[in-house]
Amino acid sequence: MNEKEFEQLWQRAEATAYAKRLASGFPRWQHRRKGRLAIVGLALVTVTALPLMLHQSPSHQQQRAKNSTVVKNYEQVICNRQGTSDAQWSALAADLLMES
Amino acid sequence: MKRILMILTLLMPLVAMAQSPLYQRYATRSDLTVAEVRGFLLNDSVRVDVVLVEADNEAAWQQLKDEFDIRSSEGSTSWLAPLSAPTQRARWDGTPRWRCIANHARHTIGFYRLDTEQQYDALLDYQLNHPIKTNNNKNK
Repeated sequence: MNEKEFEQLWQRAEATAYAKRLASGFPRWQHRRKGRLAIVGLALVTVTALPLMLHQSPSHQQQRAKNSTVVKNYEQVICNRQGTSDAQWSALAADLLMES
Repeated sequence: MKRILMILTLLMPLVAMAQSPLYQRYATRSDLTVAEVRGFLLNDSVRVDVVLVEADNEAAWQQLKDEFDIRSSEGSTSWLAPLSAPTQRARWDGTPRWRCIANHARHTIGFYRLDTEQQYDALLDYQLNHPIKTNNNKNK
């Protein structure tokens, strides 16, 4: 060990001792500091994970874009039978016109 | 005042859901499937309301044919009718009418409500401009 290495060790020992003394002298503040660190950590995780959770695959995005371009050609459908689709009746209304 | 507003708010959806008399006339029949298509889009800006009456079996279709005096048994039969009497035949005179189209293969009659000249023209354009459709049924 030379002089320089000893100096580095000494400074590290001093810093460690000081941190220990601070923690033992102010336990309440130390506790709050840990809490703040936990909150910051949680915020960082959320900020990182949220975009990943909301991220959609390119194929899904393409499907959404495709669907958004489909124009619904009716406002509302009422039917006396359950289990029929609204689009089916709209298509029938169109077919009757086309086939007449 | 608050109570009145609350009642109106509750009733508004019911008013919006009210079916046409033509729909109500056939909706209770067990041998018919009836649908009312509100705001069927004819072109970029013109919409019409449509009532579709579909016979579930041959007997029901024959009954409908008799009721609406449909004599043909193939293809389509169409006519204009007063709103109050869809079985009757009428000419277009600018007053509200049903454009009725009976499709024999589908056992279905479609009633297209025409309140304005614009809707009347748009309906004819829809038929004319479609690849399958070829003839003009104006005043047929």
